[in-house]
Amino acid sequence: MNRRKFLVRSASTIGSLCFSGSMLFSNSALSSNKSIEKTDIQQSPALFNRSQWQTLVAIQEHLFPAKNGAPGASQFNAKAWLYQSLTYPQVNPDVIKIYQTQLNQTKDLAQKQFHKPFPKLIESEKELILRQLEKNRQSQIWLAEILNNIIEALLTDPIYGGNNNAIGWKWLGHTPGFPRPSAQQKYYLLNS
Amino acid sequence: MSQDYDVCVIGSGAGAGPVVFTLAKQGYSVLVLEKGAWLNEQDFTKDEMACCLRNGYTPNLKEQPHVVEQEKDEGGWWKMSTDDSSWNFWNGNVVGGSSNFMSGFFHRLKPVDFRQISTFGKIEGANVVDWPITYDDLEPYYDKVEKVVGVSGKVVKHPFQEPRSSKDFPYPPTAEHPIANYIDQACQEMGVHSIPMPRAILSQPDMGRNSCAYSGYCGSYGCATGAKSSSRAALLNHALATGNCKIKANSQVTKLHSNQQGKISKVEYVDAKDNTHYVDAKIYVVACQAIETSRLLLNSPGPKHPNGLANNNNQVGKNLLFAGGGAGSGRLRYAAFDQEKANKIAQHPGAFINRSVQDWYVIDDKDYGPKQKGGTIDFVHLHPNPVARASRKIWGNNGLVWGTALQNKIKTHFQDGRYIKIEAFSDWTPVNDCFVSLDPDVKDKWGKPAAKVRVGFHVNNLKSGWYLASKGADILRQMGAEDVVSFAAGDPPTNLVAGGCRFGDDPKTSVLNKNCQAHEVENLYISDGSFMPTGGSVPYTWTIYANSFRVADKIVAHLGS
Repeated sequence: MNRRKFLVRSASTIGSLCFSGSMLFSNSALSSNKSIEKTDIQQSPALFNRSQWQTLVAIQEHLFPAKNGAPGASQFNAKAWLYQSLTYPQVNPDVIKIYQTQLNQTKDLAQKQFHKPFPKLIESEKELILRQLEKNRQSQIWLAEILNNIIEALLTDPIYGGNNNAIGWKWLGHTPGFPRPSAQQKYYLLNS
Repeated sequence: MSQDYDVCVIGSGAGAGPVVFTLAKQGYSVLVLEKGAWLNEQDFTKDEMACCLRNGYTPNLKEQPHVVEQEKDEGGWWKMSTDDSSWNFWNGNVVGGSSNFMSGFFHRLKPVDFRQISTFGKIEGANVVDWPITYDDLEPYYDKVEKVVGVSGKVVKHPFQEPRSSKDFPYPPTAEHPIANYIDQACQEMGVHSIPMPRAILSQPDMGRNSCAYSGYCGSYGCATGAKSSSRAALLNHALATGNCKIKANSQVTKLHSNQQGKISKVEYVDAKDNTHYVDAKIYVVACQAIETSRLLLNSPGPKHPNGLANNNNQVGKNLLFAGGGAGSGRLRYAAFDQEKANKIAQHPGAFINRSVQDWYVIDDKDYGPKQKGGTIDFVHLHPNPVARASRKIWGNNGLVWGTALQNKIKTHFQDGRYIKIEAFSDWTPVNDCFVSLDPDVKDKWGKPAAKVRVGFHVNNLKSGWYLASKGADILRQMGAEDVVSFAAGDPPTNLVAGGCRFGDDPKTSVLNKNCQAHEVENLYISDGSFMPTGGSVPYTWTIYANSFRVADKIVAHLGS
């Protein structure tokens, strides 16, 4: 996926009205996914440096915190989900660059305003930084993609690696459809 | 010359199934070439990733894109590959086609749909025509679909009930959610006729298929019981059982070769390993869904067809149709009702709402304008997909919503009430600026030009869409629904597509004759929704099935002659 596509796809989710249930989201995610369990972030292509990963995880946890009975992003593997979204079928340098730029901006803004790395900020400070970032259109689209990605990790079938023990479904009292897919029926295995 | 098969059918969805079924049953040898995989009931699960978030049943857009051409605000057109956008014109590329994934909201066209010019006169800026056949010509085939493909429902009296040769449906309605009764009550209070929506779903086991299991996940998902009347479950499986039908999955047809006489001489296709094969037959039937049918013809020039097969009058791809209309929704908040009613509303949405209103199929309202075509309003459960539903909550009035505020919004949506969705169907008025052509730049992975789809629309689509959706919204309000919204948009619903190879009596303005045989190519029939010159104000699938049965009889006559 190139940079233009990232922006176009993201923008298409804003204020769109959809006629058929599946139309709006049929193609809105970052890219296709392969098995999350095959992912080993430590040995993976170096998408981000340590500080960028830490910032990303802190952003995910701020956007979807473990509070008031809601599961937090780290409880349903949001980090690994994001990784696989960015690396299947291959690492796309354009999209990675957007992430790196945005993460660096987040880091710089935190440093400039509070003289601390983003993950070390208290909640209200993180909120301030992210809301400030959001004022920039491209940053807003980037944050929306992170949110969409978190929701995928929260509510897709656990066979894909997110939604551990159906934690997301249980939180919402959501009844999945039956039959549910087996591990051998992941969407990318259907045609093999 | 001896041919490999009597008939070669390209595509295997609703337009193909009846032809394949009829010919195989009559002893003709039939080859079906389907570009997608062969999945069966046991392969279909309720996986939002497969159906909706990723391309589980449709091609990779990087390898097989379309190009969409939209109107600029300042005039003129700009184009974009679907690989670079959120558009996707593929609707299910597996054996049985997108009929595997339909919701199966089945309505017939009505007599007036065949005679729009005669009834209402011309619409400025539109290419509306009367059909070369009448409702009476198609009625026996609608009836056949009910019985052979399987349609459940119940006939009730209402102002726009079309004539029927059978008194009632062969299968009783599918199980109904209590919300259906509340819609009936509201409609009765308003003097509106609510009708049970016919469904292409078996409500009881028959014809080797199981009944619906009411999982609550129907539209966009493949059916795991065989109850949904897909071309595969209802027709192709029976055609295979005759021993006269062969289906080759993962077979992408790349060209129809034609000879000096202008007739098709062979089909060229590539298999899953990209090996090229050729096959010939006495008759060729194309049913790839409207856009790809036109594209295949345009990609198949020959000695007598320099502009593409059957395109010497430049009609292939023209007057493409989607579905006009509008949509809306409302929420029945549990706390707004007494406990007993709240419990009923909260019942798991496995059973269907299945209610339609056709009181405004023709709008006779002075405030709206002269008497004209309106359409159908369907009431359905909100699509159950949890990711889709939760993702819609990330945008608020002032930008992004996240943190506890987002979590509360999502939780409220899932737990405080049940949503009813309105889907309003009106005619997609045929216009010059809605058509398929070949893109000069973008190609698929086999090097064939991608279809470019210009998606211009007539303002009538919006007008009727708004009108119908707001009527639906009034009914929801009468029921006590909250947060009621209704709207119409000009963008086409990509899963409801027809036209592009009109049938008609004049070769200058149509691709097919009234038998859906190409005017210019004696051994070519087109049996998907491409033939439709106007779409009617209902989803297309029942009409596509019915017409394909009609075309099958014409092909039988052709082969027998």
